[in-house]
Formats: sequence, C-alpha cells, structure tokens
Amino acid sequence: MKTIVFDAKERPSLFIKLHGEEQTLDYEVAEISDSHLIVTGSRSLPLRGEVQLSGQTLKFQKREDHDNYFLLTFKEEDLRFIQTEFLKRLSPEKLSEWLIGEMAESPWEKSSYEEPTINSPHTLQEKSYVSQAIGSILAFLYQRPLISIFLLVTLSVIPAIGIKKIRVDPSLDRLLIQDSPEMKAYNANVERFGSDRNAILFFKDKDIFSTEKLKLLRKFAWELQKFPDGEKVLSVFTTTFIHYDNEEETLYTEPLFSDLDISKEKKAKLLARIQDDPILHERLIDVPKNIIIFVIPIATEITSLKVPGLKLRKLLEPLKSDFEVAFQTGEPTIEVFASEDMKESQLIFLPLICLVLFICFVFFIQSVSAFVVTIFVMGFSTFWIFGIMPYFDIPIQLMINLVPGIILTLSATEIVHIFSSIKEGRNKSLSGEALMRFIGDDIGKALFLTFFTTSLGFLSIRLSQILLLQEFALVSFFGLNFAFIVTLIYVPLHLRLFSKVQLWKGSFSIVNFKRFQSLFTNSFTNLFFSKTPIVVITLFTLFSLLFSLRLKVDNDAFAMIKDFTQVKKNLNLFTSEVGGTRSIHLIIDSDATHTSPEELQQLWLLNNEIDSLKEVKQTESVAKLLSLLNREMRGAGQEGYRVPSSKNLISQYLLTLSRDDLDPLITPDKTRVSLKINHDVSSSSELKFFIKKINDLAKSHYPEDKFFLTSRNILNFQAAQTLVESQVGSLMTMSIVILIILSLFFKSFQLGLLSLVPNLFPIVGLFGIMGLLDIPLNVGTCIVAAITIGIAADDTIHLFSRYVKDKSNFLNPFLASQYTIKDEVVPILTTSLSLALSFSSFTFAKFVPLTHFGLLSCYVLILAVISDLYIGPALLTWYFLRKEGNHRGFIHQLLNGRALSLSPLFKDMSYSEIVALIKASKVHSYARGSKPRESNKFYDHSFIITSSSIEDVPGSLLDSNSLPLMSDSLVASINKEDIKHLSPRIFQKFCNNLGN
Amino acid sequence: MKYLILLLAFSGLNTYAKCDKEGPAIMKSQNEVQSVKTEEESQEIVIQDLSTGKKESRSVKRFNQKENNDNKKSVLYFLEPASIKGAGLLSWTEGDSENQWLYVPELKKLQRIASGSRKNYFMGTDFTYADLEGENLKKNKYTCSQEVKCQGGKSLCYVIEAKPINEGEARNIGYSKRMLLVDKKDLITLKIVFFDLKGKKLKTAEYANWTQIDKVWRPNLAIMDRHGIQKTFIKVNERKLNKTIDEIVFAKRYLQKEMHIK
Repeated sequence: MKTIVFDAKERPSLFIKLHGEEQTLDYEVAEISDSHLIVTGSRSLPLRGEVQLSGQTLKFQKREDHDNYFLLTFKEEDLRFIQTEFLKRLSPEKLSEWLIGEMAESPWEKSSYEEPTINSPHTLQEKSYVSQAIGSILAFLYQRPLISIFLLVTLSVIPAIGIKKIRVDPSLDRLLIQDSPEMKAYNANVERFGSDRNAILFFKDKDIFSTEKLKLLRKFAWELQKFPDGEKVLSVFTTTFIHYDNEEETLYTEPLFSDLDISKEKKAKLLARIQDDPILHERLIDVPKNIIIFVIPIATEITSLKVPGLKLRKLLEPLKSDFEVAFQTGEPTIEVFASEDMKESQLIFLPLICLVLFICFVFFIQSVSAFVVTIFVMGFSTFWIFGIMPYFDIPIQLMINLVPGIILTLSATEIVHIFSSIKEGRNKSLSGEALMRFIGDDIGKALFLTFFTTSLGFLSIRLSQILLLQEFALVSFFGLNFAFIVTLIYVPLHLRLFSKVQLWKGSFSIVNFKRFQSLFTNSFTNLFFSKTPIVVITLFTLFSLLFSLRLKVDNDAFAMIKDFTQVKKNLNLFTSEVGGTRSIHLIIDSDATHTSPEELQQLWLLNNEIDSLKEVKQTESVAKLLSLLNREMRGAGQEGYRVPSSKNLISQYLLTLSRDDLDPLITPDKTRVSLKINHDVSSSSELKFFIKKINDLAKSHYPEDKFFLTSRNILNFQAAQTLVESQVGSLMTMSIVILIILSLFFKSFQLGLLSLVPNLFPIVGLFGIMGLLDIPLNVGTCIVAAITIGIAADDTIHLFSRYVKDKSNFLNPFLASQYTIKDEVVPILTTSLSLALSFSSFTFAKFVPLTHFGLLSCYVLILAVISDLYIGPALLTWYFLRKEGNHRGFIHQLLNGRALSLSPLFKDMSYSEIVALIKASKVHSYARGSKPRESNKFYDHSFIITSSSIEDVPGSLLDSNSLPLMSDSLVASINKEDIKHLSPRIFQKFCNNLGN
Repeated sequence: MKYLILLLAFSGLNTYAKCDKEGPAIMKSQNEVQSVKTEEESQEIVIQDLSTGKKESRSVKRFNQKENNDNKKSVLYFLEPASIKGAGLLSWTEGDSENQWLYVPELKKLQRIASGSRKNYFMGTDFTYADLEGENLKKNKYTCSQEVKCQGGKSLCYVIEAKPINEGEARNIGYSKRMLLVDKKDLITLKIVFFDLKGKKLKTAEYANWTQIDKVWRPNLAIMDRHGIQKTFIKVNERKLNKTIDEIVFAKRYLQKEMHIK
C-alpha cells in the first residue's frame, strides 16, 4: 500500500498512552506507510507505548525520533488496522488523489533529484558484502558452537607445537640494522681487533690497595681468566704495565700487581708510577679515588650478553661484602636488566591493563561478559602469535613484550562496539541468529575496517631498518589479525553458551548519559561557527609544527633505562667516577705500513688532538703504546713520550711486544690501525656532533677514503638516524592506505581526503609535544604515531559512517553532525578513555621508551578525541554546506531538512534546490520576540522559517506592527523576479507550489 | 686435516696400549738422553699471518749453555732483517731467579728487563718464553695415558698429559695443560698441543726434520700453529752441540759492545 502523507494542517490525531500514566496524549499523524507510522507532538515518546485507536490498544516501538517527529513500528496486523482506520478518515477527494493521482512523495522516501537524497531511516544503511559476510559467519557459528570449538582447537595446534621453542632475546643487537654495510664493516673490525662489548667490574674501597684486598682481587682476576665467555681479562693483575724502575734500572713489562709480596714502599712507588701511565690509569685503576676496574670483552661468538652478565653477577656476589662499592656495569648488565624487566612487566602491566579495562567495561557498558570475551581474545591471539614466532625465528624481545597488552587494549575497544551493538539488537527484541546478523549489519564492516587499519598501522612500522621494530611490526600485525579471527569465532560461542546472562541495568548505563550527550553536543556543535576554536586549533597546529622541527632521535640503550633503577645508578656512578662506558673506533688504512715513522707520527698527532676533546675519556692506539714504550726505554720522562723517529727503533720496539698487545691496535700486516676512543656521550644528537668533530680531525690528517668510524656506538647512532626516515615512511604509507580505504568506504575521494585531517592532527600534536619536551624519537615513541593513526582511523570510520547515515537522514549537514556527535560521543570517549588509561600504565615502566609510549599514547588519544568529535564533524559540516551552496552559517541552524521537505512550498524539491531558492531571497534572521522589518512587506512572498515550520506570509502582513516572532526565525523574502535566474526547474517547481 | 693428523697421531689406527712407564719416568729419561751442555744454532724464523698470508722472515743466532738443570745461560740475537739487526736477548737463570737483558741497537742500550711472565710471547713469535725453556720436570705433573702408533705407523709414541703442578704455575705459563706426543724409542717430543686456562685448545707445536748429533736428537724444524691467527716456523740451518762456547758470549758486554754483530 502506498504511503499516506498528511498535510501539516490536516493531520489527524492519535492518542498515545505512555507507560505508567493514566492519561493519553494527543499526537498528530504525519505519515503512514507499510512499515511505520510517523507522528508529531510536543512531548517525547518513550521506546515503547500504546496507541488508542477506535477502541483498540495497539503496542508500538519507537525506532527514531527527531525534532518532535517520532517513527513508530507496530505488528503488521496492527499497522494495517491503523492504515485502514485513517484511510476511512480521508475525504473523498483526498482518497481519490491517493488512489489514482500523484501522491506527494514522502519526504522519507528517496527523491528523484540530485543528492542529498532523503531515505527511509531504517533502510538507510547500505548492507555491504563485508557486513553480510561477517553477519553470516557469526550466525553460522552461533548455530554450531561445536564448530567454533573445533576451529579454536585446530588453529591452536601449530602454535602449540611452536610455542615450546619460543625463546627470549633481550639482546641489544636487535636495536641495530643487521645487513647494512656499516654492520659488515663493524663485524670485520671485531674479527680483526677484538670485541667491543665489554663487561665492566668496578671496585672502590678506601683500603683497596691493602695487601689483603689486592689478594682478593688478584684471586678474582685469576678466576675471571677462566671465564669461558670472555676474550680476555683487562686488569692491573693481568695487563702489561710498561714502566722503567730507575733504582733497579730495570724495564718492567708485567702487570702492576703480578707480585703482591712487595714492601709498602715499593707498592707506593708502583702506585705513583701507574698514575703516569696514560693507557692504564683512569681506565683500569684510579689511585686517588681508590678504584680498581676489570674489563672483560665478551667473545664475539656469544650472541646474547645476558648469560655472561648473569655468570659475572654470580662470580661478583661473594666479593660485594668485602668492598665498599662493587658492581658490574656495561652492556651485559643492560641485557640482564632488559630480560628481567620483560618478565616483570608482564606480571605488572597486563594485570593493570586488565583492571582498567574491567572498570571501564563495568562503568560504561555494564558488561562483565565483554571483559571475559576480551581476555579470551587476548589469550588466544597471544598464544597463537607466540606459537607462530619460532617458525620465523622471531624471539620475544623488548618491544614484542608489549604485544599482549596492545592486543588486549585494542581488542577491548572493538568488543565495546560489539557489545553495544548486541545491546541495541536486544533492544529490538532480536536474538540468536538474527542478533548475529544484526551485529554483522550494524558494525561488521566497521569492525573489519578498524582491525584492518589498526593492524596496518602496526605493519607500517616494518619500514624501519631496525630489526627490533621490524619484528615488532610483524608480530603485532599478525597478533591483531588473529584477535579479529578469534573475536569472530568466540563471540557467537560465548553468546550461545552464556545467552542467559543479562547485561546489567545499573544507573550508569549509556542510556543515562543522555543528559551528558545533549549537553556535550549542544555546546560543542555551537563552536563550529565560532572563530575561537578555529584560532586555537590553528595556533596549536602551527606551534606543534614548529616544535616538531626540534625533534631529536635517540637509540642509545643506556639512555633507555630509568635513573632510579640500580643498573642505571651503577652506570651513572661509573660514568662520574671513571667514564668511558662507550667507545668509537677510528679505523685508518695505510697504503704501505703504519709502522713507518711518518705514519706513526701522523697517528700520534691525531691521537693527541682527539685526546684534547672534552668528550674523550681515554684513547688507545699503537702510537700511544709505542710512545709509552719509548718513554720508558729511554727513561727520559715526558720528553721521551713520543713516537720513535726511526724505522729501526720502531721495529726493535715491536719485538718486545706480543700479538696480544698489538692485535687490538694494529693488523699483523701493519696496514690498518684502530684508534679506540672511550667516551660517555649518550644522546644521539650530542653524538652526532661528537662524530663530526672526530671526522673533521681525521680529515685534517688523512684522505676521507682512508678512514672510517665503527663500533656498536656508531651502529646505534646510525640506526637512530633511520628512525626519522622510517617514521615518515610509515606515516605516509598509513596516510595513503587510510585515504584509499576511506575513499572506497565512502565512495568519495574528497571525503577520503577530508578524513585524513582528523587522523593527522593528533600526529602533528604528538611531534610538537615531543619537540617541546625534548622527548626523542626512539624505538618506543616511534610506534606511538603508527598506533595513533590506526586508532584515530577507527574512530573516523565510525564517525564518518554515522555522519553519512545521519546526513542522508536529515539533509542538514549541521543537524547531521549534531546527531553524529550525540551518538558517537560516548563510544568514542569510552574507547579513548579506556585506551588512554590502559596505556598510561606503561608510565611505571623502568624502560624509558615504554614510559614515553604510555604518556604519549594518552596525550594523542586526547587529541584524537578532539579531532574526532570536533575537527571531523566540523570539517564535514563545512564541506557539505559548501557543497550544497549553504555558505551562510546561520541558514543551517534553522533549515531543518525534514520540515522543509514536509512543507508544500518546497514540494518535490531537493535540499540543494531549496537552499538555492532561499539564498536567492532576501534573508534576515530574527531572535525570538523580535519583529520583522518593514521592508519585508514590499516582497511578493515572505517565508518565516523556524526550526520546525515554514509559513508563507504575505509581505503586507510583515511590518513593524506585526506580532513579535515566537521563536528564532529566518524571514526569507522573495519576488518571482528574483528567482528567475535560477534553473528553470527550480523556478517551475516553486511557482507550481506557490500556485497550489 | 690437522685434527685428522692429530687423531691419527694420538690414537693410531686401531691399536693403543697402556704406557709401559709412568709419565715422570719417561720425561726424566728424555731429559737425560736429550740434554746437552751447550748448543749453538743459526736459525731462520718465519712468522706467517694466517689471515693475510703475509710472512716476516728473521735470521737469528742462538747460544745456550747449561751447567745443570737449575743454572743456564742463553743469548739470542737477530742478524736479519736490517731493521732489527743486533737486537738481542740475554738470559741468566740461577735456580728460580732469572735475569734478562734486552739490547736495543738503535738506542745502543742494554736494558735490563724484568723476567716478566713466562707466558709472554717471545719476540713476536708464537713461542712463549716458557715454550722455549724446555720441559721443567719440577713444575709439571706428567701422566702417560696410552701408547699409540706414530710417525706414519713406523713407531710407537707415548701420549703424555703435562699439567702445571699448581694454579700459580698454570697462570705463570698460561696453560691449563699440554698434551705431548713422545716417541718411545728416541724419547723425542714430536708434537705438543697447548690448552689455555679455560681448557680451550690454544695452539699446536710440531717438531720435524730430526737429526741425531752425538746420540742426541734435535728437530731442524719447529712449527707453532696458533690456530687461525699466526704460524711460526723455526728452521735450524746450522747446529753445534756440546762444543765449547766462549764465556764472553754470555756476558753483557757482548751485546753492549755489539761484539755479536762485528
């Protein structure tokens, strides 16, 4: 049966009884169709009620309500009864018109003219293939819970086998770029000159030079010589101390404390002498500070430093009580710390995140089930991904440790949407298979897209050249996709098994946030056309861009540990007392030999210049060694401290040195030397300047192709430099992907482009705050941007799709955004808040990048909320207003598309045609209580447009003597002549409507 | 290949037997049989870097005088290449006390050097001072584990494990143990495998081109292989045993006055 539309002035009454009230209320019937009844009235209708008609009481459900228009649905037979009753009430003329002639097209039905079109509300959402597929999967699995169980078990077999081989690797090597030319050069250098991964054992005691303490340390040195993981032991008990004893007229080339059965005087003499040794003093011993140090280069075949670190810790333990200060530091301690922290963090952060999510779920959506489902999804997807990793030789490392927490939080946000959809479905009395299909239709596409875009956000991190991040990207990508699969399998199973579990009905349900929703929406959307927020956002963006230029990078493992940790305290103490925790090796090639006097002199000069740099703690080179030998052999004091000037003397000195002395400094064929520079420069930005200084000094002595810098320090620095490139690459890739996805989703490239703005705004803010607060780009912070863009895209998808739906419903872009915000504010705030709180738990991590990750994630989530709830809707409003020619801001506030469509004046006209018409008129806005202007009376027609009606008033009635206006109004005054320039179609329609 | 030779050398093809004597007895016999009062050698030392293949050649003259097991004197000096010609090392050992002097021709200085660690490498070669001293029966514990076929199956050899008597001695020489292959008949050491303080194989010495002079056997070729790093070849071009050597040779002024290169 065709839809019956009643003129505004001839609407029949309908009595509606509200639950719990005795009285019935009078509403006017605007429209009756085969599926719904639209009534209008001043009082809001509840979700359910009863209609009194012709002695019958008919129950209804309210599906939609907008501006005092309410769409009600009934049982089929009840609606037919209503239709019949009202048809009886039509006049014969109207009945004939309805039966035979052109009926006015229902404003609710699709217009034949250009968009925006009006669609029936409940058929608005186009069902996509993805939604249907997801709905079908959910429905299928709901009916067959055993298949769900079978799938979960079967898909777990391979991971179950693999997970036994999972390994943990806290190695700092993963912070480096593995296959680069620099890495190859470094490996060749290590092969040639020995390892630069040092374990350092530090002892300080006021009586450290007493015979008793020295014997303890000497015994310790002997034990360390048997340490299987070390290449050698450098200490005052094992390393050659070249010195000439004037009294004995003897040159000594044995360790300082090889013999402890010496007199006090001799010991004092030795301690005085060693302070003149530029190679050993302040490196292995500091006499004034009562410090003795052991340096153990870890053998190159040992890949992970954790095991040697633990062994040394065990060896050191018995000695700690014998010395005031005794500790281990260096790279092995970092890996031990990282390994222990990885275990600890799982025990702390995961439970903390679970607690936060539990509170959010209970408070916002009152669902413990949602929490259970989330935990299940996290558990299974983590199990699967950790079980698959061994097949690809990916260990659990510093960043992959975050993955369970990330899966937990991101799955939670989607499960919130699922359970909201379930609630909505149950409100519509749907259950079982129908409910599953409803979920699919309602959010299936969005669900798929959000998992997809978020996981892509993580995958974009793969562009980094740092192995740690590449592995993290892959693992999180697959982990999130596994989470999606588990969600699809488990949700129907859970609902099937626990279908009787009701959602709580507490006082804090989403429904009770209505007051908040309205308040928020009204105050927020009124800002759309205010200049203040635009200025604030523009200034914020500009300042953020400016500060982002200060962004630094940092990949230094030592700097990644918080100062309050014991390992960092030890490192800081060592740095302040001795220093030289890091090293750079300057490798210099010679065409002939470095042991010619000229080459050696050149090296000696360069060594001295480098020694004078303030960042340098110690240096070692063959030039220094030979100079020291020369000084001692000659017994000439500091005057003799220079390289030998004759080739013969150099050769003769070399006879006294063994390969063990020379191998770390010069190759056997003497064509390549290594100048070791020990320093404490930690940040990548300071290191950049330091490296430049060394390069500049080296260039002044050697051609550029004859030297290069290497060491783990350099590799870390080079890896840090790639962080910026990979970050930019990752963001650009994500932007393009989101642009394509959203353009396809909305079938509009312009909308896709527009959707980038709310996604990129938080990123700009992120880099701005990092630049402002000197938070560097490191392995932790560089993933924040990728995660942010993924999460922001989720909200954008939900928001934009809601907007498109509301826009087609209301036509008015501004109203559409109001409703969109009203509908989305709570889910967006819920998910953002829960994510922010969850990520903020990382603030307590001992690993600085994790803390930065947590804090910055909170910050960008706040920006994303502003972006999604203000910038996105504002942009959409402006876009559509401009597109539809509705430039003037005030028009939108009163032009209710529905009211316009219902008006006979604008019958058969599309929204853009209506806007064009009104624009062509003389439009004045009036506040409630004001009177129209005199000038209006000179127009053919004036229309008083309010938010709920349009009246055609003859111009003569509009003057200063007329009654004040009852509400905020627009008065559009028009002459036919004024609209002739409009398209003939608009002119014709309007004239026809005027005639009618 | 080396490991195969070692395996064959140490374990034989299909026969091994228990030692018919104890280790200390074997080594004592070796010492008695192979000891001489004086030795004079002209040697060529070639040091080869295994990574580059580059070789350095040195020409050396060496004199040893042994009064008894505790008192010894030795002098060694370089004749070639020209850059190190005249550089020499003089050692006097009396019991546990040792004095050494290094002559640096460029400085014209005879510098007394501390005996230093016997585990230090000698003059850039792969032989340590301890390696060149010969077997010190008092400072090592010898255990014969088996007899094996050696020298291409032509003779039998003792496999003897030599361990320093205590940890201190081990630290002094830098080895946790050595494995010796000693020819049963002639009591000559054909091969020694050295193990560092961690118990890892460090280097291998092989002695070949044996000649007998006055019933005493001496190798004309010694090869020390520091696996993967460097090899040292010591070739003896000329040797005199038990001939009288002028005492002046072992005096300080011999080097100081450069009498050795005049």
